[in-house]
Amino acid sequence: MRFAITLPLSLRVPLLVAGLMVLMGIVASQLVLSALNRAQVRQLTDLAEIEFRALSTSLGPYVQRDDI
Amino acid sequence: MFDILDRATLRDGSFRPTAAALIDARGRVIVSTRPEVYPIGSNGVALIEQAIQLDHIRYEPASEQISVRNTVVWQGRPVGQLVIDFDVQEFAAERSQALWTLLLGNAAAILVLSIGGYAVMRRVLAPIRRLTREMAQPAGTPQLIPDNMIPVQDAELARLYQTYNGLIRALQARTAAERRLAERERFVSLGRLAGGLAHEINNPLGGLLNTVDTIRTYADRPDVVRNSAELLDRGLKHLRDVSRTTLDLHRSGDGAAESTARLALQDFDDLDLLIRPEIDRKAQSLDWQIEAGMSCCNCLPAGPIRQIALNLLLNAAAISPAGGELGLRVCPDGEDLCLCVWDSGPGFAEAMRPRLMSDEPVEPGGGLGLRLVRELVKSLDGAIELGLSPDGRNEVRVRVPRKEGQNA
Repeated sequence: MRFAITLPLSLRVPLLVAGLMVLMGIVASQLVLSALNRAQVRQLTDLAEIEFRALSTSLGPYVQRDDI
Repeated sequence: MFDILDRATLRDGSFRPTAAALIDARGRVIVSTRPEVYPIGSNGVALIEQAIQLDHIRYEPASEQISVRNTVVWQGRPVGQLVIDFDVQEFAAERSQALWTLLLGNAAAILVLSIGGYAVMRRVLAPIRRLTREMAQPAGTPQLIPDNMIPVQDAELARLYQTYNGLIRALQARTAAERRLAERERFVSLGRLAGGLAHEINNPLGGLLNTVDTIRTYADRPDVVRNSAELLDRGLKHLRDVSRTTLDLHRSGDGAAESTARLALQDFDDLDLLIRPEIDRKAQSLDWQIEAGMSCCNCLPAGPIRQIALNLLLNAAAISPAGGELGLRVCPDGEDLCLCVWDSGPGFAEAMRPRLMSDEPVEPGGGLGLRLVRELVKSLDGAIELGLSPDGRNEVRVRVPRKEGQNA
């Protein structure tokens, strides 16, 4: 902290702003990644449902008849 | 069924099944696209347990595939469990790319904006830096900032510069006032001496005029004339000594000879001569102890030391009551010369102390040259202390370091 105080003002202010920007960047990135994760899970679920529905429809009669 | 599952797993796409297995109601694997891992007829319970239920899909960022299970329902009846492994590499790659884009984008933005911010701050703070530079002048006093250098387009900074200039002007005025005050104090002590000296000159003057009358009356008697002439000679020499020492004392700074003159024991005799009329006028007694030898004194300038001692003695005489005692003791103290002036008075009044002991601004008058003493002691790198003499009298001690080649 003492080191930070001895820095000249012209360096201290940009460094402080850069530090705040890093914090803001981390928070914003975390929000973006969470949103992307949710979107991907939703997309995965939709695609998997379609897949399962199609296969269930196709396989159902064969399983019923025990026709492997 | 094999064909259906095979076709499904051989399809291309970003989210495609890579393997599939069908487990019947009894928990046996009845169809598998990877018989080497889950052989037909083996127990499929473990396969079901490690797969994620379709309506609770989640996936870890590092995983490349996920297993999902769902119940196969035909005509409203569950007939088995279908487990499908999906390839999610493209999703993971998309996430990874988004992460790196964010990291690099943020880093680049922070770097560019920081450098830009630094440049802007340097530019904005340039007038402040200039002001700081002016205030921290290593040599001499800070100077006024010329009017044409004041940034008038920036009202705030202009006001700051003008305030700084105002402070400098006030400082210069104060310095000039203190210089005038010190000069005035020097003449105050001269004025105080003048009365005593007039008395000192006037006393022998009556006798001398009588001697002149005697010479006129007995002009034809050589022995009377010779005795009278000797008397006149002694009297006039005394007057000469008195006027010479007075002139010497108040001529400091007028010539190089005075500023370079070294302190001698004779200077203390001169001081005795100067202060004596004032002492006699108040019927006080003066104790004079000069313990320092010639070798101790001759590396110090005479003018400032005499002025210091005289002002302190005049002050002691003023403080002490009529019939009181005061004294001067000059002695070597290690590498210093110590001048101690003591008196039988009540000591310094509170209002007087700052004149001698601090650099606070003082009102003109009333100090009897104490601020001048402080300035002179400072110029000699000396120190002033207030204390008690060995016999319990109030004492002012001035220590002046003895340095070769020291000037006033």
